Amino acid sequence: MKNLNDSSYEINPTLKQYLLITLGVCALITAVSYFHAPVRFWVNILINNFYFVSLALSGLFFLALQNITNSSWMRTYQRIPQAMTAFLPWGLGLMLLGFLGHHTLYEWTHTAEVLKDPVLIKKTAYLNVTFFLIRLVVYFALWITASRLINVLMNSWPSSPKQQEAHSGKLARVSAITMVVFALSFALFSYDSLMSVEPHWFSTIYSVYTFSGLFVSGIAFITLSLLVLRLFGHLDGIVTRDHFHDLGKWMFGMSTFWAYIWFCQYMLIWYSNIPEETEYYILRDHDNWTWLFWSNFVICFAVPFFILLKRESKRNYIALAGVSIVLLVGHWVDLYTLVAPKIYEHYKILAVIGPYEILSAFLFASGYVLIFLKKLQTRKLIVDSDPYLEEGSHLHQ
Amino acid sequence: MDKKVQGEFVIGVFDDEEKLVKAGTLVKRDNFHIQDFFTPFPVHGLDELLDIKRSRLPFVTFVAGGMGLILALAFQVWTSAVDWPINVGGKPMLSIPAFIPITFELMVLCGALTTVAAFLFRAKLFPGQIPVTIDRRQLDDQFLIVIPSGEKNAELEKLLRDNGAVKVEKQMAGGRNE
Repeated sequence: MKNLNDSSYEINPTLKQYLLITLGVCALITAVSYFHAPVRFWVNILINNFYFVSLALSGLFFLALQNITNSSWMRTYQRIPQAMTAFLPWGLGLMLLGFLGHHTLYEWTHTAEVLKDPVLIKKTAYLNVTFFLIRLVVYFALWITASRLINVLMNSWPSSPKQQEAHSGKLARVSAITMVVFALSFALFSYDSLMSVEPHWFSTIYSVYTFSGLFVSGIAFITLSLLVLRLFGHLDGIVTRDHFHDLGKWMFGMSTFWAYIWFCQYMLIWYSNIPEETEYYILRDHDNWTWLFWSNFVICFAVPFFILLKRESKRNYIALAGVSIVLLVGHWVDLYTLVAPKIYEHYKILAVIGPYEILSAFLFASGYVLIFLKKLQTRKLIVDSDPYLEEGSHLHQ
Repeated sequence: MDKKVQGEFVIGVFDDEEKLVKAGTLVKRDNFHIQDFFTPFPVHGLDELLDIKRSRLPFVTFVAGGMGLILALAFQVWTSAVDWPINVGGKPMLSIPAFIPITFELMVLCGALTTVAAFLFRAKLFPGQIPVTIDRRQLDDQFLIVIPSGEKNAELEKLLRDNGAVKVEKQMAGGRNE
């Protein structure tokens, strides 16, 4: 291994300046949208909150998964998923802030309407403001605790082999518990914050669908940030083309998994043809949602599938970077088609991806990247005491 | 070694895979052609030394998967929309979403089975095949490098011995079928 000592990362001041300028400009435009188009403002906030909380959670999930399987190849770039979770406390604040728009977003918060509605009145035990907020805080408390615990364990290894073995076992146990907690809490979190936008409609596979989006966009983010780090000469000789090949396989597999779940939900609803279920797809296959809905499927499935099918493109940095960007954008659009149609139908707004949508996404993205990079520079990019590091850097296909 | 391979070969026997890779690298550097390696388990780095071309197996999988896809789709369309149209739940006769699961499964099945068959066929792994064994211990704890014998045999043998070969011997193609 080379460059063991030359592996700390520092934010480039120019980059930081650009990110802060983007943040400022986008914050200004988003603030304008609050007065000009309040419904779009709240919808955008909800989409971005969910998107970036998912991205942060994908880091946690990825670490837990790799620790359970005791895999070593991830040790070479483990700081990236670790830094991705740094957004979680901010995510809680932003989710609570975004909940200020609950009267715009969630039909079930209008007590007068709920009382008249025979379906919604039965759901009030679960769908009420107090319980919603309690759940939200509990989810984030669990996630933040788990990510702190895993990060601390991963970054401080004992020196004797016997202790290392015990440490490795402890890491696997914590990760396994995290996995169970994550599965339950993320499922409920996506039911709460996204599915309750359409409180009459429900789908039990919904959380699997949002999870598949979380996973694939997380891998895309890891790949993209790792490519940028390698471009600037970091992790030389530690992260090799073989690591990228494996990440490419993940992206390929998980975008296909997403399409699989997409189709599972679509086919069952299409086949059974029950009015209260089909309204979901009728809404998305009408007016000017049609092109967005179907192009989303092409962007998130067909494009990565056909590009990454060949081995050569999984080992090609430009192809990987392109697919990562396509997936990251595609899954934002995916969330847009999940959340916006029902709310916009109510307020008689047509599908629109304009400056407000794009700039609000950039606002969150620049903030997320800043938090990510700040966390990344707090310590070295590799953990010298990690006994699996050496093995992980010798990855072969 | 392939049945078609003719002539005499120099065989270097090693007791450590790292020594084998190192010696193989040096042998290749000195412009000797390496015929093959025999090891009890897969060793990284040997494929590169042998200049093996990329396997065409993925292409077989792709074509077979595509065939399975077309076959399954065509058959379902023919049975449920052309030959004997059946109305299921008032849906159109030609309902592609309903055909997707079977299409997917048949694509995977055709792709997977054809790949296994093609691999066994190309690697000549079928019942009654006599495996080439040069030295019994290639199946246990020793690592062999096989190089065609030529004018510079003395130089080659010295190179192998200097780099940790426990034994260097000559053998005719075909090996001893023990």
